[in-house]
Formats: sequence, structure tokens, C-alpha cells
Amino acid sequence: MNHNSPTQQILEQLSRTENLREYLVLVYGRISQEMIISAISLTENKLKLENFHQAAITRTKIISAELLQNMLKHQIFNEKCLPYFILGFTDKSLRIITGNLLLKTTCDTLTHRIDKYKRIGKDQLRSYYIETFRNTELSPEGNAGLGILDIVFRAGQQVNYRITPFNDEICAMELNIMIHNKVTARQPQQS
Amino acid sequence: MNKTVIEAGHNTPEVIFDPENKKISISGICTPENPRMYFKQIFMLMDEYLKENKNLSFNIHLNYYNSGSTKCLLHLFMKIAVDPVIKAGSEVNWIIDEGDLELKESGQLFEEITNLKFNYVPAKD
Repeated sequence: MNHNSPTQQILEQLSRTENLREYLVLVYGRISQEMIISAISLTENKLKLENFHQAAITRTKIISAELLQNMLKHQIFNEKCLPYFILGFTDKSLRIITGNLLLKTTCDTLTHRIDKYKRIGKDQLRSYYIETFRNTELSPEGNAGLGILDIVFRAGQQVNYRITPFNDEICAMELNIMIHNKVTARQPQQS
Repeated sequence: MNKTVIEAGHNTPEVIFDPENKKISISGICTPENPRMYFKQIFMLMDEYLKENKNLSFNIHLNYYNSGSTKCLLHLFMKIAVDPVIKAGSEVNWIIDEGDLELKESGQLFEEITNLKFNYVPAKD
């Protein structure tokens, strides 16, 4: 994530590292619940216009909702580094890229979880997801702690991140998530 | 019990609880900031209904949802699944748009955990 970056700088930086054919949605600035609903509605309309498969559209909406609500929940506002949400696509897949400031402690928790879920074998991830889903309790605030697992599961572990220190307590985190257009069902393991 | 209708909000679904016809319908976007608080009323309605009834049909047609809401939906289904008699008389109609394998698989995950009878019903245009 680029500090003090207006949208053009973010896109220029992405164009150097990502092979995105086209950008569909770009959200930049403070996140609100109303903005999340609008962004996902726009995402859905754009993907329909581009003839993406219905399953890929639903997967993208669910992942986007989870990402944006997490960004809202952990939001640290600083005009030098505003949050962003970008949806683009290559010839074969959709790409969601988000950037936002986080407390280092939150960042450590998230990266630890992502690394842990990515290490689980593809064949075991579904049963791990089910077991975690079954056994997790909701907190009084309504958090299940399932958000990152849900994202990693739905994206088939195609989740990468980049961390940049911002100051002693805060870092900038960029998430890069790939969603294949041709979504295939993750069938239960044969016993 | 009277019929209860909870109107859809900008990020919450429409809920119609119809005790006379033994049905509960949940449809739309389901991403409340605090799913536990949002579902509290539905849990209470279910608890009251299940004191005197042994069967219920769910019609679930979601657009998209957050992970906290899926946990609340699971909790709702488990109220049915834990009682063998109620479970035998109940079903979930999981409504999906054509080709939506993602939403279908979400239903299958619930089905696998609860062992409730799930019907995958195509959405009407």
C-alpha cells in the first residue's frame, strides 16, 4: 500500500504489479455501511454486464461484504492513507485488492490466520471450515471470528497480503484476492 | 401466535414468520453489523413457535450475507435439528438463482452440519 496515495498513484502502482485487463469498481476514502451496500450493488451490476458466471458474482459479493465490513470495523482514519477497494479482472479471474490502516496487533492476528488457513491442504480446508463454523460461538457484538477463514475458503486460498509500516503502532495492509470466473463446487471429501 | 413481518433494511433481509402456515421466509441482503442482535427477535419467535409446533418450513432466498449471519442462520436451523421429531417434520427450501453453485454450496454446508432436509429450489424470475 502506498502512503499518501491518491487513486491514480494506487492504480499506477497496481498496473506495475498486477496484470489486470480492466478495473470495474474503485472505492477510495472513508468506509461506511451505506457505501458498502452501494459498492456491492455496483460490483454486481458491473459483473453482470461483463457476463461473469452467477456463482462468481455471488462469491465476489460475499467476499467483498466481508472485506468491507472488516475494513469498517477496524477502520483507522488518516488522510495520508485512505482505505481503498478495487475490483478488476484479468482474462481468467477477478481480483479484489483492498488497502487500509490497521493496528499492528490486528494486522498480526490477521496475517497469522491467513498464513494458517493457507497452509491447510486443499482437500482438508472444507472439513476444517465446517468444523470451525460448527464450533465457533458469536461474541455479544455479533462477531464469529469467521471472516478471514470465510474469505480464504471461498477464494480457494488465493489470498495474498502486503504489509507496510505506517508508524510505531499502525501498519498499512493490502489484501489481494483472486476469484476464478468458472467457480466449481468444492465437493465433500470422499471417505 | 400472530404473523410477524420484519421489513427489509438497507443491509437486512425481509423476514416473514407465518405460524398459521408453518413457514418462515428470509430473503434479501443479510449483512447486519451485529447479526446476533438482528436475529434475536427471530430466535425468540422460533422458540415460542416450537413450544407448541413440531414442524416448520424455511424459505431462504439470500442475495449475499456476512459470516456472522451464517452463524446465526446455523443457530436457527439447529433449533430444529436438535429435536428428532421437529427435524423429521421440517424442511429448508434453499432458493437459488440459475447456475449459482456458490449459493447452492452454502446451502449444502448447512445441510451437512444440520442433517436437515434441504430442497434446492430455482428462484422465480
